[in-house]
Amino acid sequence: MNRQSQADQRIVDRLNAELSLIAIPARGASRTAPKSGLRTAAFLTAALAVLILAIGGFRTLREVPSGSAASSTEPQRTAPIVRASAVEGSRTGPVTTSDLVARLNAAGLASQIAPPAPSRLLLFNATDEDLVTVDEAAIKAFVVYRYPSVAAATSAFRLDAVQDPGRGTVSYIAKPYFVGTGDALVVFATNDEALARRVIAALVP
Amino acid sequence: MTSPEGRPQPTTFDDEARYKRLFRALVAVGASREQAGDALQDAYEKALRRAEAPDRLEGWLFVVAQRQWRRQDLRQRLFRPLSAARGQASPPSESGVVLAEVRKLPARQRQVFIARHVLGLSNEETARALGIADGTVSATNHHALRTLRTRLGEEQ
Repeated sequence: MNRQSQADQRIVDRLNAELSLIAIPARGASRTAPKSGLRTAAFLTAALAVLILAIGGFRTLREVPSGSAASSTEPQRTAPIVRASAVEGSRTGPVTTSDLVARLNAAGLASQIAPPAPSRLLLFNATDEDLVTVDEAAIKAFVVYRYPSVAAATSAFRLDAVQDPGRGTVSYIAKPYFVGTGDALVVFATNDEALARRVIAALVP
Repeated sequence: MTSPEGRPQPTTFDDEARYKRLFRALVAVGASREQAGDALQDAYEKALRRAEAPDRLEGWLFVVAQRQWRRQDLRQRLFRPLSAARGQASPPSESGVVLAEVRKLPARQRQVFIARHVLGLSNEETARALGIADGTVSATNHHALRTLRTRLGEEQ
């Protein structure tokens, strides 16, 4: 390495050392509050919207579809979508929930298909769902969403619904993990990252 | 994304090391910590909404997050109260001699230098991410390093 390259390397090293001292906030932390000027602008925009509604200029600003539990809340800019983790596995053919449970059991995660819930909450355009019980306290929820075809499951995995602002948001009690495999979408929630890795490794061998 | 054997590979957006590199790269480009966090969140959201994971995810996220940050920064400047605008031009809270000099580089040199040396992208990856030729990346990186050597007294 010549002298110039050494100097370049020193510069890069110094820069990276300086950057490494910068504290990185937790991912998914609340977005920064708008500055006061922005708050003023937001207030003015809201006032204008109220005025338009008052004079009947627009019938509705946004139509929120009814009849869906997921639509009860509007999407929030603070929704920590990046906290979710998405993993796509093999899509070579359909997979049954029993197959998935067998994979979990084979990986040492005692699991079984739970009795169906009294009322189903089909999210992500699924046509059916299976609840799975995993004998791990850290796993707060484990649902297998079923689709009529691999293509439909793949489409749902791509989170097309997020692009529809009327669909709202879903809040999970722990960090959600989305695993696409075959014609199913597995969603489970846990804050135990090591356990999550085990589950994903079992589901996506 | 598929492996050489054709077997689908998992795509994960939840890579902490990548997130940290991107965060630092945005701060190095000139964003504040808050702006970097917000811009990255927007970029990850956009990545998740795409039909397929972007090719060369890191470079893609870097470019999209920068764009988000610039828009956000412009909006904040537009709506900043006059009293604040008279004060000072929002100095970055992060300090460091090299960081300060990097931030003084022209925008393109800064982008290329940071993509190459903070994100660790190759010449080709940087070129693809920024939509410029490989040769332009090499030349721009060379100019950036020469400027930094001079300003930091590393020129022997």
